[in-house]
Amino acid sequence: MTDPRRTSDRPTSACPMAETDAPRPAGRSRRQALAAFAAGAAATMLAPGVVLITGAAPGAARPPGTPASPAQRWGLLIELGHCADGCARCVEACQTEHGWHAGDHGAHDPHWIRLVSATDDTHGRTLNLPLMCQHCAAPPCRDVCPTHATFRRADGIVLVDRHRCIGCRYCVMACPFSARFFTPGALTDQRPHMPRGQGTAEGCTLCVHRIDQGQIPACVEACAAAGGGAMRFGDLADPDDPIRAALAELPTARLRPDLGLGTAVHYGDL
Amino acid sequence: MSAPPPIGPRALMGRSARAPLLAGLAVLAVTWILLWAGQAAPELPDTAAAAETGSCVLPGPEMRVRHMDVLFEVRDEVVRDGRRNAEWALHGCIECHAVADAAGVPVGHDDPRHFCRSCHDQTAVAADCFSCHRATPETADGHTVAHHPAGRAHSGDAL
Repeated sequence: MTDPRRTSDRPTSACPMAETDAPRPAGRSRRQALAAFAAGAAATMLAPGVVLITGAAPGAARPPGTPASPAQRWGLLIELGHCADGCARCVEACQTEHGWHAGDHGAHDPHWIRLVSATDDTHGRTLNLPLMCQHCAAPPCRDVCPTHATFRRADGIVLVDRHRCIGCRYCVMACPFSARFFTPGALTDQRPHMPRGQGTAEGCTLCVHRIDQGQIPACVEACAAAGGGAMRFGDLADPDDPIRAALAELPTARLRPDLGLGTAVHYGDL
Repeated sequence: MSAPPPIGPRALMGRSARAPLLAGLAVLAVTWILLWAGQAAPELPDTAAAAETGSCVLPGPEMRVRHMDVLFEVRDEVVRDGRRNAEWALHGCIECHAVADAAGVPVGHDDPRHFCRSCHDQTAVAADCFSCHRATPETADGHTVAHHPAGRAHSGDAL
Protein backbone atom coordinates (compact mmCIF):
# COMPACT_ATOMS: atom_id res chain seq x y z
CA MET A 1 0.00 0.00 0.00
CA THR A 2 1.16 3.47 -0.67
CA ASP A 3 2.06 6.09 1.84
CA PRO A 4 -1.12 8.07 2.44
CA ARG A 5 0.91 11.11 3.40
CA ARG A 6 2.44 11.66 0.04
CA THR A 7 1.15 14.72 -1.71
CA SER A 8 2.82 14.83 -5.07
CA ASP A 9 0.51 13.94 -7.89
CA ARG A 10 1.84 16.19 -10.57
CA PRO A 11 2.59 14.50 -13.86
CA THR A 12 6.21 13.63 -14.33
CA SER A 13 6.10 14.35 -18.02
CA ALA A 14 7.85 17.58 -18.87
CA CYS A 15 5.30 18.29 -21.57
CA PRO A 16 1.86 17.10 -20.62
CA MET A 17 0.46 18.23 -23.95
CA ALA A 18 2.53 15.69 -25.81
CA GLU A 19 1.14 12.77 -23.92
CA THR A 20 -1.48 11.77 -26.44
CA ASP A 21 1.25 11.15 -28.96
CA ALA A 22 3.27 9.03 -26.60
CA PRO A 23 4.31 5.68 -28.07
CA ARG A 24 2.57 2.71 -26.60
CA PRO A 25 3.97 -0.73 -26.03
CA ALA A 26 2.78 -3.20 -28.62
CA GLY A 27 0.94 -6.41 -27.91
CA ARG A 28 -1.17 -5.10 -25.08
CA SER A 29 -4.01 -7.21 -23.81
CA ARG A 30 -6.27 -4.21 -24.28
CA ARG A 31 -5.75 -4.43 -27.99
CA GLN A 32 -6.60 -8.06 -27.99
CA ALA A 33 -9.72 -7.21 -26.09
CA LEU A 34 -10.49 -4.52 -28.63
CA ALA A 35 -10.01 -6.94 -31.47
CA ALA A 36 -12.40 -9.35 -29.82
CA PHE A 37 -14.72 -6.46 -29.23
CA ALA A 38 -14.80 -5.60 -32.91
CA ALA A 39 -14.96 -9.19 -34.08
CA GLY A 40 -17.83 -9.92 -31.77
CA ALA A 41 -19.92 -7.27 -33.50
CA ALA A 42 -20.26 -5.39 -30.26
CA ALA A 43 -19.75 -2.31 -32.35
CA THR A 44 -22.17 -1.84 -35.19
CA MET A 45 -21.25 0.13 -38.24
CA LEU A 46 -24.18 2.39 -38.96
CA ALA A 47 -22.65 4.65 -41.56
CA PRO A 48 -19.14 5.61 -42.59
CA GLY A 49 -17.44 6.92 -39.51
CA VAL A 50 -20.39 6.34 -37.25
CA VAL A 51 -20.00 3.53 -34.80
CA LEU A 52 -22.68 2.68 -32.32
CA ILE A 53 -21.06 1.53 -29.15
CA THR A 54 -23.46 -0.80 -27.48
CA GLY A 55 -22.15 -0.74 -23.97
CA ALA A 56 -19.35 -3.23 -24.28
CA ALA A 57 -16.04 -2.37 -22.76
CA PRO A 58 -13.62 -0.25 -24.75
CA GLY A 59 -10.86 -2.05 -22.94
CA ALA A 60 -10.43 -4.81 -20.47
CA ALA A 61 -11.09 -4.06 -16.84
CA ARG A 62 -7.93 -3.64 -14.89
CA PRO A 63 -7.35 -6.39 -12.36
CA PRO A 64 -8.19 -5.32 -8.81
CA GLY A 65 -5.32 -3.46 -7.22
CA THR A 66 -3.80 -2.33 -10.51
CA PRO A 67 -3.22 1.42 -10.71
CA ALA A 68 -4.39 3.60 -13.57
CA SER A 69 -1.92 3.49 -16.43
CA PRO A 70 -0.17 6.60 -17.76
CA ALA A 71 -0.09 4.86 -21.14
CA GLN A 72 -3.78 5.57 -21.46
CA ARG A 73 -5.55 8.83 -22.07
CA TRP A 74 -9.29 8.55 -21.88
CA GLY A 75 -11.34 10.94 -23.93
CA LEU A 76 -14.63 11.56 -25.65
CA LEU A 77 -15.75 12.37 -29.16
CA ILE A 78 -19.15 14.02 -29.39
CA GLU A 79 -20.66 14.52 -32.81
CA LEU A 80 -23.02 17.40 -32.29
CA GLY A 81 -24.79 16.71 -35.55
CA HIS A 82 -26.26 13.62 -33.93
CA CYS A 83 -27.49 15.51 -30.88
CA ALA A 84 -31.24 15.82 -31.31
CA ASP A 85 -33.09 18.88 -30.12
CA GLY A 86 -34.40 18.32 -26.63
CA CYS A 87 -32.46 15.12 -26.08
CA ALA A 88 -30.92 15.04 -22.64
CA ARG A 89 -30.21 11.34 -22.23
CA CYS A 90 -26.61 12.00 -21.34
CA VAL A 91 -27.60 14.42 -18.57
CA GLU A 92 -30.24 12.10 -17.20
CA ALA A 93 -27.86 9.16 -17.24
CA CYS A 94 -25.24 11.17 -15.38
CA GLN A 95 -27.75 12.23 -12.75
CA THR A 96 -28.86 8.67 -12.21
CA GLU A 97 -25.35 7.32 -12.15
CA HIS A 98 -23.95 9.85 -9.75
CA GLY A 99 -26.98 10.98 -7.81
CA TRP A 100 -26.78 14.71 -8.47
CA HIS A 101 -29.81 16.83 -9.21
CA ALA A 102 -30.04 20.40 -10.29
CA GLY A 103 -32.22 22.48 -8.02
CA ASP A 104 -33.45 26.01 -8.46
CA HIS A 105 -30.20 27.85 -7.93
CA GLY A 106 -29.24 28.08 -11.56
CA ALA A 107 -25.53 27.94 -12.25
CA HIS A 108 -24.83 27.29 -8.56
CA ASP A 109 -26.48 23.90 -8.78
CA PRO A 110 -24.41 20.93 -9.81
CA HIS A 111 -24.37 20.29 -13.54
CA TRP A 112 -21.73 17.66 -14.01
CA ILE A 113 -22.92 17.58 -17.60
CA ARG A 114 -25.22 20.17 -19.06
CA LEU A 115 -26.62 21.08 -22.46
CA VAL A 116 -25.45 24.38 -23.84
CA SER A 117 -27.53 25.73 -26.67
CA ALA A 118 -25.76 28.12 -29.02
CA THR A 119 -27.25 29.79 -32.10
CA ASP A 120 -25.16 31.40 -34.80
CA ASP A 121 -26.88 34.69 -35.64
CA THR A 122 -25.59 34.78 -39.19
CA HIS A 123 -27.45 31.72 -40.35
CA GLY A 124 -29.54 30.70 -37.37
CA ARG A 125 -27.97 27.29 -36.91
CA THR A 126 -28.38 26.06 -33.35
CA LEU A 127 -26.04 23.65 -31.62
CA ASN A 128 -26.93 21.61 -28.58
CA LEU A 129 -23.64 20.96 -26.95
CA PRO A 130 -23.21 18.61 -23.99
CA LEU A 131 -20.62 20.24 -21.79
CA MET A 132 -18.78 18.59 -18.95
CA CYS A 133 -15.29 18.53 -17.46
CA GLN A 134 -12.95 18.45 -20.43
CA HIS A 135 -10.31 16.49 -18.50
CA CYS A 136 -7.53 18.80 -19.58
CA ALA A 137 -3.94 17.70 -19.91
CA ALA A 138 -3.00 20.92 -18.11
CA PRO A 139 -6.05 21.55 -15.94
CA PRO A 140 -6.30 25.03 -14.43
CA CYS A 141 -8.40 23.62 -11.57
CA ARG A 142 -5.51 21.40 -10.60
CA ASP A 143 -3.05 24.27 -10.85
CA VAL A 144 -4.96 26.49 -8.43
CA CYS A 145 -5.87 23.83 -5.89
CA PRO A 146 -4.07 24.69 -2.65
CA THR A 147 -4.32 21.20 -1.15
CA HIS A 148 -3.73 19.01 -4.22
CA ALA A 149 -7.28 17.79 -3.79
CA THR A 150 -7.82 18.32 -7.48
CA PHE A 151 -5.46 16.04 -9.28
CA ARG A 152 -4.96 14.37 -12.59
CA ARG A 153 -4.94 10.63 -12.48
CA ALA A 154 -2.28 8.73 -14.39
CA ASP A 155 -4.71 8.01 -17.22
CA GLY A 156 -5.63 11.67 -17.62
CA ILE A 157 -8.88 11.80 -15.65
CA VAL A 158 -9.17 14.96 -13.56
CA LEU A 159 -10.74 14.27 -10.18
CA VAL A 160 -11.44 15.85 -6.82
CA ASP A 161 -10.08 14.01 -3.83
CA ARG A 162 -12.71 15.12 -1.34
CA HIS A 163 -10.58 13.87 1.51
CA ARG A 164 -8.29 16.81 0.85
CA CYS A 165 -10.78 19.36 -0.48
CA ILE A 166 -11.20 22.31 1.84
CA GLY A 167 -14.00 23.88 -0.17
CA CYS A 168 -12.07 27.00 -1.21
CA ARG A 169 -13.77 27.00 -4.62
CA TYR A 170 -10.66 28.15 -6.46
CA CYS A 171 -11.20 25.34 -8.96
CA VAL A 172 -14.77 26.49 -9.55
CA MET A 173 -13.43 29.89 -10.52
CA ALA A 174 -10.48 28.58 -12.51
CA CYS A 175 -12.33 26.25 -14.84
CA PRO A 176 -12.87 27.98 -18.19
CA PHE A 177 -15.77 25.63 -18.92
CA SER A 178 -17.65 26.18 -15.65
CA ALA A 179 -17.49 22.46 -15.12
CA ARG A 180 -16.67 22.51 -11.42
CA PHE A 181 -19.32 22.88 -8.76
CA PHE A 182 -19.50 23.34 -5.05
CA THR A 183 -21.71 21.42 -2.67
CA PRO A 184 -23.00 23.98 -0.17
CA GLY A 185 -25.36 21.82 1.87
CA ALA A 186 -25.42 18.48 3.61
CA LEU A 187 -26.33 15.52 1.41
CA THR A 188 -27.74 12.11 2.14
CA ASP A 189 -28.53 9.10 -0.02
CA GLN A 190 -25.42 9.40 -2.16
CA ARG A 191 -24.64 6.58 -4.52
CA PRO A 192 -22.31 4.10 -2.84
CA HIS A 193 -19.66 4.52 -5.54
CA MET A 194 -19.94 8.31 -5.65
CA PRO A 195 -19.44 10.01 -2.30
CA ARG A 196 -20.47 13.66 -2.39
CA GLY A 197 -20.63 16.01 0.53
CA GLN A 198 -20.98 19.44 1.98
CA GLY A 199 -18.09 21.81 1.51
CA THR A 200 -16.39 19.99 -1.34
CA ALA A 201 -15.96 20.62 -5.04
CA GLU A 202 -17.15 18.17 -7.64
CA GLY A 203 -17.44 17.60 -11.33
CA CYS A 204 -17.56 14.98 -14.06
CA THR A 205 -15.37 11.99 -13.18
CA LEU A 206 -15.65 10.49 -16.66
CA CYS A 207 -17.32 7.67 -14.71
CA VAL A 208 -13.98 6.61 -13.36
CA HIS A 209 -15.57 3.80 -11.37
CA ARG A 210 -16.97 2.33 -14.57
CA ILE A 211 -13.80 2.81 -16.58
CA ASP A 212 -11.85 0.90 -13.97
CA GLN A 213 -14.17 -2.03 -14.59
CA GLY A 214 -13.80 -1.81 -18.34
CA GLN A 215 -17.16 -0.11 -18.85
CA ILE A 216 -17.85 3.08 -20.76
CA PRO A 217 -19.17 6.26 -19.11
CA ALA A 218 -22.88 6.32 -18.33
CA CYS A 219 -23.54 9.26 -20.66
CA VAL A 220 -21.96 7.49 -23.62
CA GLU A 221 -23.86 4.33 -22.89
CA ALA A 222 -27.17 6.18 -22.62
CA CYS A 223 -26.49 8.17 -25.78
CA ALA A 224 -25.86 4.99 -27.73
CA ALA A 225 -28.83 3.17 -26.25
CA ALA A 226 -31.51 5.83 -26.30
CA GLY A 227 -30.01 9.02 -27.69
CA GLY A 228 -28.56 9.94 -31.04
CA GLY A 229 -25.40 7.86 -30.75
CA ALA A 230 -23.37 11.03 -30.76
CA MET A 231 -20.88 10.17 -28.05
CA ARG A 232 -17.89 7.93 -28.22
CA PHE A 233 -15.45 7.02 -25.54
CA GLY A 234 -11.98 5.69 -26.01
CA ASP A 235 -8.28 5.80 -25.38
CA LEU A 236 -6.86 8.80 -27.22
CA ALA A 237 -3.34 7.47 -26.71
CA ASP A 238 -4.06 4.17 -28.38
CA PRO A 239 -3.55 4.36 -32.17
CA ASP A 240 -5.67 1.25 -32.55
CA ASP A 241 -8.60 2.63 -30.62
CA PRO A 242 -11.63 3.31 -32.84
CA ILE A 243 -11.84 6.82 -31.43
CA ARG A 244 -8.50 7.60 -33.02
CA ALA A 245 -9.71 6.51 -36.45
CA ALA A 246 -12.83 8.59 -36.02
CA LEU A 247 -10.80 11.61 -34.97
CA ALA A 248 -8.57 11.19 -38.00
CA GLU A 249 -11.54 10.96 -40.30
CA LEU A 250 -14.01 13.49 -38.96
CA PRO A 251 -13.60 17.24 -38.75
CA THR A 252 -13.49 17.82 -35.03
CA ALA A 253 -12.51 20.65 -32.75
CA ARG A 254 -11.95 21.18 -29.08
CA LEU A 255 -13.29 23.96 -26.93
CA ARG A 256 -11.05 26.95 -26.27
CA PRO A 257 -8.00 25.63 -28.09
CA ASP A 258 -6.49 29.08 -27.55
CA LEU A 259 -5.98 28.20 -23.90
CA GLY A 260 -3.75 25.27 -24.76
CA LEU A 261 -5.23 23.05 -22.10
CA GLY A 262 -5.11 19.81 -24.07
CA THR A 263 -8.72 18.94 -23.45
CA ALA A 264 -9.78 15.33 -23.88
CA VAL A 265 -13.28 16.02 -25.22
CA HIS A 266 -13.43 16.42 -28.98
CA TYR A 267 -16.50 17.82 -30.69
CA GLY A 268 -17.60 17.07 -34.22
CA ASP A 269 -19.74 19.53 -36.18
CA LEU A 270 -18.82 22.27 -33.76
CA MET B 1 26.04 23.60 57.93
CA SER B 2 22.41 22.89 58.76
CA ALA B 3 20.00 20.99 56.44
CA PRO B 4 17.60 23.12 54.37
CA PRO B 5 14.11 23.41 55.80
CA PRO B 6 11.85 20.58 54.55
CA ILE B 7 9.25 21.49 51.96
CA GLY B 8 6.34 19.69 50.35
CA PRO B 9 3.46 17.55 51.72
CA ARG B 10 5.73 15.54 53.96
CA ALA B 11 6.67 18.69 55.77
CA LEU B 12 3.10 19.89 56.05
CA MET B 13 1.59 16.78 57.62
CA GLY B 14 2.82 14.15 59.97
CA ARG B 15 2.58 10.40 59.59
CA SER B 16 -0.77 10.37 61.33
CA ALA B 17 -2.24 12.76 58.76
CA ARG B 18 -0.92 10.82 55.74
CA ALA B 19 -2.55 7.52 56.64
CA PRO B 20 -6.19 8.58 56.00
CA LEU B 21 -5.16 10.22 52.75
CA LEU B 22 -3.53 7.04 51.46
CA ALA B 23 -6.51 5.01 52.55
CA GLY B 24 -8.82 7.37 50.69
CA LEU B 25 -6.74 7.13 47.53
CA ALA B 26 -6.80 3.35 47.74
CA VAL B 27 -10.58 3.35 48.05
CA LEU B 28 -10.85 5.65 45.05
CA ALA B 29 -8.57 3.46 43.00
CA VAL B 30 -10.48 0.28 43.84
CA THR B 31 -13.78 2.01 43.08
CA TRP B 32 -12.51 3.22 39.72
CA ILE B 33 -11.19 -0.20 38.79
CA LEU B 34 -14.49 -1.82 39.73
CA LEU B 35 -16.45 0.73 37.70
CA TRP B 36 -14.15 0.30 34.74
CA ALA B 37 -14.40 -3.47 34.86
CA GLY B 38 -18.16 -3.31 35.12
CA GLN B 39 -18.49 -1.27 31.94
CA ALA B 40 -18.76 -3.45 28.87
CA ALA B 41 -16.27 -2.70 26.12
CA PRO B 42 -18.04 -1.45 22.98
CA GLU B 43 -18.72 -4.18 20.46
CA LEU B 44 -19.75 -4.18 16.85
CA PRO B 45 -23.46 -4.95 16.67
CA ASP B 46 -24.21 -8.40 15.30
CA THR B 47 -25.81 -8.36 11.89
CA ALA B 48 -27.12 -11.10 9.68
CA ALA B 49 -24.93 -10.06 6.76
CA ALA B 50 -21.79 -10.14 8.88
CA ALA B 51 -22.74 -13.52 10.31
CA GLU B 52 -23.36 -14.84 6.82
CA THR B 53 -19.98 -13.67 5.59
CA GLY B 54 -18.28 -15.00 8.66
CA SER B 55 -14.97 -13.23 8.24
CA CYS B 56 -13.79 -9.70 7.73
CA VAL B 57 -10.96 -8.48 5.50
CA LEU B 58 -8.78 -8.66 8.60
CA PRO B 59 -9.24 -10.56 11.86
CA GLY B 60 -11.56 -8.76 14.27
CA PRO B 61 -8.96 -7.74 16.85
CA GLU B 62 -6.77 -6.34 14.09
CA MET B 63 -9.66 -4.43 12.55
CA ARG B 64 -10.44 -2.97 15.95
CA VAL B 65 -6.95 -1.51 16.16
CA ARG B 66 -6.15 -0.82 12.52
CA HIS B 67 -9.39 -0.07 10.69
CA MET B 68 -8.65 3.63 10.51
CA ASP B 69 -5.23 3.04 8.98
CA VAL B 70 -6.70 0.61 6.50
CA LEU B 71 -9.36 3.10 5.49
CA PHE B 72 -6.82 5.88 5.04
CA GLU B 73 -4.54 3.74 2.92
CA VAL B 74 -7.32 2.32 0.80
CA ARG B 75 -8.88 5.71 0.13
CA ASP B 76 -5.66 7.06 -1.36
CA GLU B 77 -5.05 3.93 -3.38
CA VAL B 78 -8.52 4.03 -4.85
CA VAL B 79 -9.05 7.73 -5.38
CA ARG B 80 -5.61 8.87 -6.40
CA ASP B 81 -4.05 5.79 -7.97
CA GLY B 82 -7.15 4.08 -9.27
CA ARG B 83 -6.21 0.86 -7.49
CA ARG B 84 -9.70 -0.40 -6.95
CA ASN B 85 -10.26 -3.49 -4.89
CA ALA B 86 -13.86 -3.98 -3.94
CA GLU B 87 -12.91 -6.25 -1.08
CA TRP B 88 -11.51 -3.28 0.82
CA ALA B 89 -14.20 -0.75 -0.07
CA LEU B 90 -15.76 1.22 2.74
CA HIS B 91 -19.13 0.34 1.35
CA GLY B 92 -18.34 -3.29 1.98
CA CYS B 93 -18.11 -2.49 5.69
CA ILE B 94 -21.52 -0.85 5.51
CA GLU B 95 -23.11 -3.71 3.62
CA CYS B 96 -22.07 -6.17 6.29
CA HIS B 97 -22.41 -4.15 9.47
CA ALA B 98 -25.39 -1.89 8.80
CA VAL B 99 -27.81 -1.98 11.72
CA ALA B 100 -31.52 -1.92 10.98
CA ASP B 101 -34.15 -0.35 13.16
CA ALA B 102 -37.32 -2.09 14.34
CA ALA B 103 -38.90 -1.59 10.93
CA GLY B 104 -35.93 -3.20 9.21
CA VAL B 105 -34.66 0.06 7.74
CA PRO B 106 -30.90 0.58 8.07
CA VAL B 107 -30.12 3.46 10.40
CA GLY B 108 -27.96 6.36 9.27
CA HIS B 109 -24.92 7.81 10.94
CA ASP B 110 -27.13 10.32 12.73
CA ASP B 111 -28.52 7.41 14.75
CA PRO B 112 -26.49 6.25 17.79
CA ARG B 113 -27.21 2.66 16.78
CA HIS B 114 -25.12 3.03 13.61
CA PHE B 115 -22.33 0.47 13.84
CA CYS B 116 -19.58 3.08 13.67
CA ARG B 117 -21.10 5.09 16.46
CA SER B 118 -21.51 2.05 18.68
CA CYS B 119 -17.81 2.41 19.45
CA HIS B 120 -16.99 5.93 18.35
CA ASP B 121 -19.49 7.52 20.72
CA GLN B 122 -17.90 5.82 23.69
CA THR B 123 -14.37 6.65 22.63
CA ALA B 124 -15.35 10.21 21.70
CA VAL B 125 -13.76 9.92 18.27
CA ALA B 126 -15.61 11.83 15.58
CA ALA B 127 -15.50 10.24 12.12
CA ASP B 128 -16.52 12.50 9.25
CA CYS B 129 -16.60 9.76 6.61
CA PHE B 130 -20.34 10.02 6.32
CA SER B 131 -20.50 13.67 5.46
CA CYS B 132 -19.75 12.39 1.95
CA HIS B 133 -20.00 8.61 2.03
CA ARG B 134 -23.30 6.87 2.20
CA ALA B 135 -23.81 5.42 5.68
CA THR B 136 -26.39 2.83 4.73
CA PRO B 137 -26.66 0.13 2.08
CA GLU B 138 -28.31 1.28 -1.08
CA THR B 139 -31.67 -0.39 -1.40
CA ALA B 140 -33.48 1.35 -4.23
CA ASP B 141 -33.29 0.80 -8.00
CA GLY B 142 -31.64 -2.57 -7.88
CA HIS B 143 -28.25 -1.38 -6.78
CA THR B 144 -28.24 -2.98 -3.37
CA VAL B 145 -25.37 -5.35 -2.79
CA ALA B 146 -26.51 -6.57 0.60
CA HIS B 147 -26.54 -10.24 -0.27
CA HIS B 148 -24.13 -10.72 -3.08
CA PRO B 149 -22.21 -14.00 -2.97
CA ALA B 150 -18.97 -12.72 -1.53
CA GLY B 151 -20.80 -10.84 1.19
CA ARG B 152 -18.89 -7.73 0.29
CA ALA B 153 -19.26 -4.82 -2.07
CA HIS B 154 -19.42 -5.59 -5.74
CA SER B 155 -16.65 -4.28 -7.89
CA GLY B 156 -18.35 -0.97 -8.61
CA ASP B 157 -18.39 0.16 -5.03
CA ALA B 158 -14.75 0.74 -4.42
CA LEU B 159 -14.60 4.49 -4.41
